[in-house]
Amino acid sequence: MNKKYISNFSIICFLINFTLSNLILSLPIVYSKIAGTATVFLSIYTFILALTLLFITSKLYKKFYGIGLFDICEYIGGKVLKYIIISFYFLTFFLMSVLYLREVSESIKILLFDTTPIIYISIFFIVAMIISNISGFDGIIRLCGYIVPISILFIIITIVFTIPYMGLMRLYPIAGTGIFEILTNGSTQIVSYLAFTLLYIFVKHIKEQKTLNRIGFIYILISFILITVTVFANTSIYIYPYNNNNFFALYELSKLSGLTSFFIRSEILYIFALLLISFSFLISLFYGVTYSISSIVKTNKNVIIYTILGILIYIFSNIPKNIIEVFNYTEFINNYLVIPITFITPTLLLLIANIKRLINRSEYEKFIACKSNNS
Amino acid sequence: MNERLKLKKKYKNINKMIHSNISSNINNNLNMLKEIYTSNLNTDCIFREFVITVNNIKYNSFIIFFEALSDSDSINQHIIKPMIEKEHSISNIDLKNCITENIITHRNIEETQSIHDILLKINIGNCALFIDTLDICYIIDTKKNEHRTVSKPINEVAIKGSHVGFVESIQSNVGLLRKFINDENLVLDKYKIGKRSNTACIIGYIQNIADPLIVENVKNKIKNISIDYLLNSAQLEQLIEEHPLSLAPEIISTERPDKIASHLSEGRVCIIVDNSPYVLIVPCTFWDLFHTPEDYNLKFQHSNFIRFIRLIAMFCSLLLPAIYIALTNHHVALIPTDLLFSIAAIEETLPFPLIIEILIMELSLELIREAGIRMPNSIGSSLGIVGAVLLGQATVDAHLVSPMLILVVAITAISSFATPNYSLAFSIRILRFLYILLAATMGFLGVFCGGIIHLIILANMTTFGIPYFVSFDKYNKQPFRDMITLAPIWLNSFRPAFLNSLDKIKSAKYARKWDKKKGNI
Repeated sequence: MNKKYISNFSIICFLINFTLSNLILSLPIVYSKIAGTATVFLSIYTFILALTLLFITSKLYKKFYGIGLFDICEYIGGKVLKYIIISFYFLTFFLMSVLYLREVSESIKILLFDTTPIIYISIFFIVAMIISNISGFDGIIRLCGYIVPISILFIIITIVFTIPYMGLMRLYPIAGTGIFEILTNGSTQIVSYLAFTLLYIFVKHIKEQKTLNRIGFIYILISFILITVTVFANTSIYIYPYNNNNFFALYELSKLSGLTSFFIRSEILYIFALLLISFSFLISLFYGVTYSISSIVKTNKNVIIYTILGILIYIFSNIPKNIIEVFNYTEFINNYLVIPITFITPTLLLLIANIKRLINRSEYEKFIACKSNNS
Repeated sequence: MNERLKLKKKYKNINKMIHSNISSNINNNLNMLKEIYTSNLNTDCIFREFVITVNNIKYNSFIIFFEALSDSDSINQHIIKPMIEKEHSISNIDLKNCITENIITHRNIEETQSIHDILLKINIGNCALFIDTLDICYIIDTKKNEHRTVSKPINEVAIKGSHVGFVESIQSNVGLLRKFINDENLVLDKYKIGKRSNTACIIGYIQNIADPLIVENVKNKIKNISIDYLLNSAQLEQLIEEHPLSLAPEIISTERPDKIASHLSEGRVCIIVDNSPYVLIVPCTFWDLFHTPEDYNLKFQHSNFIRFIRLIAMFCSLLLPAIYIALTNHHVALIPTDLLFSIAAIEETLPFPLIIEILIMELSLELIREAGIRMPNSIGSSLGIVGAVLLGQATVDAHLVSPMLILVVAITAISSFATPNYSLAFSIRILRFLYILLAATMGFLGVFCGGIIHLIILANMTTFGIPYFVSFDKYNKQPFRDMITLAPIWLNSFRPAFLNSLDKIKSAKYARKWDKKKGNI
């Protein structure tokens, strides 16, 4: 029986999904707060950081191709380390799901249902998350292959129609809040590209190392283009610091674009994109949660476990009192959990694994042989 | 109760007889068959007894056949007449061979000893000949080929395509297929389905194109069906589909041989069922349901235009009422101001909430549609007009529903007719109600929630090992060549990638050789 691989197109879309989820909500405002008028430079800076990290990790990963990150943990520190790392991943995905669910529910409440209770809005997302994950990963990833291109198209249409409002003079001062500020505080925004490290977890679905590098590069490049175009539009249309108030920067842009007189309510495109991306991102995040838990606990009662996890996410998402609290938690989680777990941990683990390989070659060969037999 | 027990015992005995062999005593055989066929009641089952003389020895004989299924002329001319007309004197040959070689003049004779086989053959119109002292029976092919002549497809009309459709006879359908494919690699593998009905069924594929795994998968499913009677291909469709609970059709059913030929040439497998004018094609993806044979007969620009229209039609048919409800009930800010005022002015005078209005109209439409199908043709069209006038004009005049809603429902109804696949149109009709309820509950959020779950379920489905909602890059090596859009025939050089065909290229890179010389492509 042939091994089942996911198409490159679908997996790239799955990864871009992570970037779009931030882009469609608060990413432009975060960039603007850090870099002021120099959002484009910040975007280029994070792009270079992400590319460097991709280059380093792919070099380190070369000798372990085909083995998932969790198995590499097992190679380094046995089952104990494996379970510890999986638990951290589980916690990261879980908290990200909780906070994003609340953030998106709040956003939809503000934009569409101002009198509806937030708990009612969240239910729709939770139901979709649970049912989709019960259905399986294949469907989620194939769905991203359809949703992401449509959402990108909506965003591009929105931005193209705002071109007449753009003014290059609004980009001055060109260094924004200052080079030092951008280089230090801005580095945390590498989180916009966090999805490429997931490749090392789902690697068994990718045909070869070359493809993995190509997927990573294409993902980072497309994400960079999307982020740059959006922050450029936001900064060049709304004068700094006024643009810091645009929580839904893309929404404001879509309202502005008007799409000429033929399509008066053009913000509907934004609403559609927001709904599509929110659903697919939450479903993907929840897949991360269920994948981590199923790596620890092998059971046939997936339906019950997924339902319980879904309900827990729903309950926890209602704990923050308001959206500002959600932003604070998100910033905290990003700095102290997401970045260490998604960027620093894989790099460190791969580095240690390579050192161990150099020290004890026979154990490495035995491990590789064992893993390839298992697959 | 006693009677029931007697009957049960009788049928148990008959079942034993069926699974035995014939004896050399003709009377035993005659009595047994009379009992099996209940000859005192079944008047169309003919037992004709006669005597033949071979080398001056007289042998009692009889033939058995069904009057309605067998060709009487053929029986008279090729069996009865040569046997009783004269005395046969043959040397150096035994009676067994003498019958087939010297007496019966029919071209197609088989010999068998199994009662079960004999019954199967008689049931489909063959004639069985029994001769005293012989422990074998001769099966002579005397089937009457009475069926509807090959005619236009009734439900799949094409303007520029072929005007030939399948009929109820499996032989005619096989002939049509062979004529269209004209390839020695076309394999038509015959099977029997149905413990009692023994319905003939043929699995067709082009052996050096179709993926052996798919072919094996289909054969496996067909072999493992355990059912008493299989009456047509629609029943088989339900028996072999992988997700019986799904609303979406997983198998294409068509009455057009050109469509079958086109799919077989891509590496798919067809299933022909006796007595059914519809042939099944597997595997099928979601996007295949939007394709029609007409697409490939038109210029590619025209085909793309109608495919685009079909997609819009499907979208309207599924979501238009839901979007209308979502906009007017929950997201009025997204409606242009002028339009919003006119909708609000009309809705103000109406007694029911919008959801009730739309459900009334949709249910009435379904009612008219169902009644129109059951009515005789001549009345059916007038029912449509009456329905339209009654429901449309009268409900508006009575201030029960708004004219805007009538327009929405009318566009939805017209759109549903534009969906090329009947089963898909059906599933859309059912799902439309679900989307209406979701839209009424939570506007676009509800619609998108339903849509995402719906799409994920579709995307997770596989049919015969192939993803049902196949992704863009897996559909064709050159994406968009024949999925949603259609490329010109001379640029469409690859078979769909997901079918994993043995021969992946269907035409040369330069199908128009002269273009290569000019360097036009």
